This record gives sequence, structure tokens and C-alpha cells, in this order.
Amino acid sequence: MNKQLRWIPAIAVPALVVAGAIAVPAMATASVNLPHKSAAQIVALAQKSGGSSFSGTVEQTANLGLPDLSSLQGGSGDSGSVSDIVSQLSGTHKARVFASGSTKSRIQTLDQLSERDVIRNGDSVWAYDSSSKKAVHATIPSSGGRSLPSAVPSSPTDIADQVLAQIDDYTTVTTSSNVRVAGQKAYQITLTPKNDTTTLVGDVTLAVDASTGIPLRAAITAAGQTDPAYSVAFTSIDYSTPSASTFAFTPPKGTAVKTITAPTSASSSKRFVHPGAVSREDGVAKSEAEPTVTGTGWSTVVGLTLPAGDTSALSGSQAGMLDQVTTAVAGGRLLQTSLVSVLLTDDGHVYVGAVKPSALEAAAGE
Amino acid sequence: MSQAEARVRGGRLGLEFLLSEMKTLFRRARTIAMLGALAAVPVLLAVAVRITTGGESGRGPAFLGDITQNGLFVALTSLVVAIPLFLPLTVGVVAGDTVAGEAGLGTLRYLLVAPAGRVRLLVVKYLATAVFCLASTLVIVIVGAAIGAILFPIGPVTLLSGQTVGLGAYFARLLLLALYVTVSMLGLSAIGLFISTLTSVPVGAMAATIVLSTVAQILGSLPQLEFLHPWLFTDHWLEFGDLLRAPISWESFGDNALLQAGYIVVFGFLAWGRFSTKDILS
Amino acid sequence: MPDSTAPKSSASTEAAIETTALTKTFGRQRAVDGVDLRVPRGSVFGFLGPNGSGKTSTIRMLLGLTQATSGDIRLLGAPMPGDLRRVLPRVGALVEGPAFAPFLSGRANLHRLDTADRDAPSASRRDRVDAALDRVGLGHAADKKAHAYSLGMKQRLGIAGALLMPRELLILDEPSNGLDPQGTREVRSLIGSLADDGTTVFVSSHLLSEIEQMCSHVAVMSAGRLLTQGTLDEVRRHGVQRIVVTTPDGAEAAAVLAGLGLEAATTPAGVSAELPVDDTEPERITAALVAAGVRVRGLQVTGATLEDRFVDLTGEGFDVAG
Repeated sequence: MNKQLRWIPAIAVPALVVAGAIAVPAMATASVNLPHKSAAQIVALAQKSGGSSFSGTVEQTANLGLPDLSSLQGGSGDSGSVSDIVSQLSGTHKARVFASGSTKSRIQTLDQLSERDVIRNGDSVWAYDSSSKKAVHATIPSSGGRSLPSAVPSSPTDIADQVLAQIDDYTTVTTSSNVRVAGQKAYQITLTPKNDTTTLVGDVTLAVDASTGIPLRAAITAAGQTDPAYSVAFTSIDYSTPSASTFAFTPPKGTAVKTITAPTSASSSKRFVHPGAVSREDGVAKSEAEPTVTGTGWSTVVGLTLPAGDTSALSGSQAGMLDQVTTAVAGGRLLQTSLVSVLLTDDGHVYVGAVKPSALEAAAGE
Repeated sequence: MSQAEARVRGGRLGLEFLLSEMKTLFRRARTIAMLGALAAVPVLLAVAVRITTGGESGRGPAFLGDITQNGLFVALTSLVVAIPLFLPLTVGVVAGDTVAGEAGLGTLRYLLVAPAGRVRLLVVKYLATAVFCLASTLVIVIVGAAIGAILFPIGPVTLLSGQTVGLGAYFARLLLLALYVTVSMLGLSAIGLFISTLTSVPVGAMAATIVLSTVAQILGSLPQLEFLHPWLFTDHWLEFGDLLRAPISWESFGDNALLQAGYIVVFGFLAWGRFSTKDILS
Repeated sequence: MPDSTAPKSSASTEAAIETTALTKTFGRQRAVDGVDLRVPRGSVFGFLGPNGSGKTSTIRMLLGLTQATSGDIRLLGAPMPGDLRRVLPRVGALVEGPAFAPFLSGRANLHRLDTADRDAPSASRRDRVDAALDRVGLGHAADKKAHAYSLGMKQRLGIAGALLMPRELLILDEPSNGLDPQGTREVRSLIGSLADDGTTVFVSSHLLSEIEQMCSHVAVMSAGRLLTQGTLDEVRRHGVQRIVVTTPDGAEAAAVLAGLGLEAATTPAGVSAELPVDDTEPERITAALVAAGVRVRGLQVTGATLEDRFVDLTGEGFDVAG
């Protein structure tokens, strides 16, 4: 009798939560009405969004088909190590992004109980890792781009910069349905590599804020797949200007500070396709030789020479990890993900590209 | 009826009942022993770091390497150590004991005949458990800061974002952190309360609650079950680091509070559904 | 204050406890089976029955601790457990032995129980606790931890818990359990003085002599059923009396008894028969037997005590030792 009625709230509440969990995203994807814009107009809108001020939280999800290496990630002290980058390229990561105009920005990668910061204030760039207590300071020409060097793209802006830079010759741009991202109405464009059979990239979808033009979401889908292999999206965004103190950085006491020269534009322009080697701040310092660039557009391959000659410089656990994620091929080891391939040759070269392994081997043979 | 009305006004809010239950809880030798054990965590940790000078950095729980430079990190390291096991253990004991313990002693029937009111008793028992969560967290934080200050130099504290804050701001953040950890334990407390209404064997309810907290943490560490993770009450337990950033990242605090509130509502109603019509045979 | 007497007097025509077809089943077992109990206000009501006869199960339902499978309960004129919040503050109870938090003192235990009662004013709490402790003679041991109490002391502390607030009804389950003879006497006189104040006292016991000495009313339970209830005299009188005639003329005696409407059974020593209640007086039977020429060697009427009545009703012996 009414004894049974007592259980109703305990059943109804989870039911409501589940219903809400289903209904709320459904409502968010319900049609968003915006004045019509052509693909070119949306691209233009996104391209002139540089210099905006905002702060927001970004969530990055990578599903590159890498083996899970969480058990191998030992101490957190090895900044910029292979394990660091591999961990960044698997699972979900959160970051906070602050921007004030085109010359001040800060990206905080929010790790559990630690944080990695990249702070740009005018021509001064700081990178700070709280777990290793290391900081890197660089001075860059004030005309540099708005985004900052980092091993993997940590904001939708990063990817947007990449793909929009090469939009003219190699890319087909189409519009798709409008969406709502981080509470903002946004246009969506899909960029597809044009006449390219070598690249692993299927397409890149950008959600562009209808009012500010800021890319709110970028999703890269590997060729032949339906779910994004890599996506970065704002989960919340606020268009007020962050306080100036956000961009001030003084290395705390006890921090090892390294000062390096500015990364060249060549090495930073293709950041997202070569996560393993180049543009991590201290990685830049290690790669003494200028990178070689072969191929064009989406199938660009970057070649590097490792400073110490070969992979034996890696510490034991890192070498073990390399063995786990790579496979032996003729003349070296290959790291294959659904989006990016990396070839480590036995003679100490690294070739990276969003391309099929055969393209890397061809580049290595040149 | 005026007398009856006056009587009703006497204790309707149950504040005195809550106070009385808290006194009963904290006067109990077992409770004091558990708080003592929690206090021993930072003490042992600090002493161990002090006597093993030059320990390798980068190994062990977060902030361990910072302790020698700044004793105030003992509080943080102790929380990192205590959250997965020691805190759920003590909270599980207290939460599992709430109703089952009274049933085991036989005092449950006298409280209900008093009459305490079944819903009122559940609420008061839950609130007393919540106060215990706060007390146990504060014990770790305060003892940790104190022993750290005794054994190591102290000074301004570096936050995760690289900013340095003075002692006042640091202690304010420690209190926020204690609040965060307390909130983290509230979902587990609600689960314990519900389990406690199922049995009159308190040890069983305690063990079941503690096992559940362990199971949830294991499930949370399996990447294959990632779809499940946002629903686990342990999901945000170790995200208190977001309070140590500059500016403070409130997102995880909010997410955690919402998640725990969900658990409180669901398991609160389950406990109510079970207890309000339960035959008290003990 | 003046109002407090008004509902009492208006309700005095109602019973303090009234149950209708009260039934409790556990699985397939009927612990309480269709009990219609009526406890008049102002009575000292003995609830008799061997262990396991359903006394405690009935008391748990009366106090809202368990839900009746079927049947109705009215306590102090209000339905239970519907009006539990209004009724229970006026009821003091000792259920299935005393129970206390062993790590708290006797005083702290009572304090806790009093705080749990949302109707108990906090201002006079300390005085109430002290008065209750003094009333059961535990004032000297008030600050000892409850685990150090003897069984008798715990029993007295339990009674003190029932007496914290002025009660209209006291339900005491085996109140003299574990008490020495002196303690038993004290409890008896305490119940007497409470009854003198107008409190209805409902005492369950398996100690017959206890009930006989202090109760005005009695009810007998056996195997979940209520066998009889009423004033002590009524129950005694309602007892199944037997007449046993010792005679060599068994057949003639049986015929005489049959003539009086009694069903007689022949025994080796004569005949015996059940006496109908209030009907056939033993004197008339004697006269009829003598008139018929039956040689009567002895004539005995049995079953007039509560104990005999109880044995008759339950078919069990009585565990006087407890």
C-alpha cells in the first residue's frame, strides 16, 4: 500500500537526473537561429577574431588510438618528457584560457594537483610546470601570432589558426548546422583536405562564435572515422577582459629557470602535427638543428635531428614507454596514431606528420 | 492547547537534539581514537620526511617534495594521503553506525518512543555525520600545518599556478580546501546512512560503506569505464587542487557539490523510504 | 495548564489503549493474532503471558515501532501510528529490557532521551533528569557510565527514562526483570504511586504473583491470541471451575449431574465436570447429589486462582521463577 509509495522519490530523482542528462544536450543541439553566412564569411569572421579578450575553460579530448600508459607514468617530475606528451594526447584534459588583446594570454593546463602554465605578456613568454618546478622564459618578437607554443593544441584557437592559415590552396570549406557551444551561438564550418590522399586528417570542424568570431570548438576527425580523434572545446567562456595580474608571472622561489631564444615561425606554424618533438618549450631548446619541411598543405612532414643523437638519451622508463607505443620498422621505430605518425630513425632523426607512415618513410629517404 | 504549543516550540528545529547527538558522537572513545589516528597521518608524514633528509623528489604523493622547503605543505600532503583511504574509512565507520549502531545497542527503540521522529532522527544523524566529516578534515589540516611549522621552516606558499601567497591567504585557502574535502565526503555519508538503515549490525554497515568507497575509486581508475566516471561520488575527490590555483578554479567545487548533493538526495530518500516504515525489532 | 486537564477528562471515557483485531505476522507465523485489547484509563493493567506469547510484539505495535499487519490501534484516544507525534510524548515506555549507550553516564543517557523528545522543554531538562533519577533511586550512580550498571540499575534507569515527562500512560515491559526482591517491591510501590496520580500503567509480565499483587485489570495472552481480559476479579471468576466429586456411585452421580445440565466425566474415584460460569452453585449440586442418594465422600471446586485460570487458558505451567 502506501509503504511502496515511500520509494518513489528515491526512484524519481535519479530518473529525473538521467532524463535531464539526455534532454539538456538535446536542447543545446536544438536548432540555433543565426543570420545566414557563407562559408567564406564565417572564415573571415574567425580570422578577424584575433585580439579579443576573454577567459574560459577548455576541455580537450583525444582518442588517437594510443595505448593507455597511465600505469607507466611514474614521477611527475619529467617535464616535457615523452610520457607527458603521450598523457596529454590521451583521455580528457582541462585547461583555462585567458586572453587580453593580442599580446597577453595565459593557458593553464589543469592537471590533478599540478598545473602547467604558458603565459604571454607582450614579448615575454613564460612556461611553468608546477610539479617539476621548472620555468622557461622566452622573448618573442611582438609581431608574433596570438597563440603560444605548446606541445599539443590546448585551445580551439590553436587549431583554427593552423587550418585557416592553409585554407586557400588545400582545403574545401563547407558550412554545417549552427550550434551552441559554452552557451554561445556559433556557426559551424567543416574543412576538408582537397585532393590529398596522403593525410590522415578526414576533416576539421570548427564552431565559430557568431558574435565574436572566436573559435569555440575544433574537432579533428581522422580519415575514415566518424568520431573526432581530437577535439578541443570551450565549456565556458566569458568575454570580459581578465585582470592584468593574470598575465604577470614571477617564477616562485626554488624554481629552475631556463632562458631560451624565441621559437622560429617555421617550427611553430605546424605545431599540432608534430607533438612529439618540436615545440614544447624546452624541446625547442633541445632541437638545435632547423627542422626540414617536406610536402605541402595537410600532408606536410617535418623532419628533425635529435640533439643527443638518438633515443638512448631517454631515461629507462621513457625508453620503455617508447617501446610500448612504437613498432619497429625498417630503419627505426614508428609511432602510429589515427591522426599523426611519428618516425624515429636509428640515425637520430624524427619525422612527424598527419600522414600515412609511408609518407614519413619517403621523407626520411630524401 | 497552549501548553502543547509551547512544548512543540521547545525542540521543533531539533538543534538541541543535533547538539546532543554530536556530544554523544564526539564523547565516544571510538570517535576520539579515529580523530587521533587521522591526526597521526600528518605527524607521521612530517616526522618521516624530517628524519629521511635528502629523499628523492618526484616520488610519493603530491607536495611531498615541497615539505622540506615549507612545512605548511604537510597539511596538503596529508590530505592527499588521507582522502583515498583514511578519511573514507573513518567516515564509513561513523555513517555506517548512525542507525545500525543504535539498533545494535537497542537505544533506537527508545529514541523512537521518546519520540525522536524517524525523519528527524535520520536528519540529525546525518548532520552529526557531516559535522564529523568537517572535524576529521580540520584535524588533518590543522595538525598538518602545526607539525609542519614545528619541524620545518615556514613561509609564503607557492600555488600551483606559480603565484606566491602569504600565510593569511594560504590559511584561507586551506579552510576552503577543508570545506571541499568535507563536501566530498557527504555523498559517502549519505550512502552509509542508507546502508545503516538496512541492518542492525553496525559493523556490517560500516564495512559495506567503506568497501563501496573503495570500489568507486577502483571503478574511477579504469579507463574502460570512463562513461561511468562522472557519476561516481569519488570522481572529484582529488580535484581539490583547483582551489590552489590563481585565480581559484571554482568549477570542480561546483561540480563536486552538485554531485554530492545528488547522492545526498538519492540516498537520503532511499534511507527515508527504508527507515520510515521499517519494523524496529532490535 | 488549565487546558491540560480538559482533554484528559473528556477523553477519560475512552480507553487508554484500545486495539481492534490487531494482527502481526512474520512470514507465515502469526505473532499476534486478532487481539482486541481494551485498557481502561486509570487502571493498572497486567498483560500476562508466557514468553513468546506475543506480548512484546503487541507492545511494539502499540508504540509504533512496528507496523500492524492488520487491525487498528488507539492510544489515549488517538489512532496509532497515525498520531504518533501527538500521542507518544504522553506515553512513557520500557520495551524489551532497558538499553543505553554504554559509553555515556546514566545522566547523559537520560539527557539524550529527553532531548530526542521534541516536546520536552529544554529549560527544565536538568531538573527533570535529576528528578527521574531520584525517583528510581539512582541519584548516587547518575554519573557512572551505563556499562558499569548492574542489570537492576539498568532496569531502574530504563524506568527513569519512561518517567522523564509527566505521562498519561506508562507501558512497562517486564519492569521487575533482573531486580532483587527489594527492587521488585520498590518498582511495585512506584507503580502504585504513579497509578494514584492518575497515570494508566500497562505492565507486561510473566510473573503471575507480581500482576496479582499490583494490578486492577489483567489480560492473558497465549500463542498470539488474547484469551481473556477484564478486572482481576472478573478474570478469576470467569475461570473455568471444575467440580470433582469423589464417590463410589459414579454412574448415579453422573446421572444427577447430567440432570443439572453438566457434562460429567467418570474418573476412577468418582466424576468430575466443568462448572458453567455464575450458574450452577456448588451448594445446589451437593444438595442434588445427596437427595439422589449418591454417597459423596468428597466434593471439591477447583480453578479459582489466577494461576489455575492461567494454566486452564494456556494449557501451560507457569514459570514462577521467571
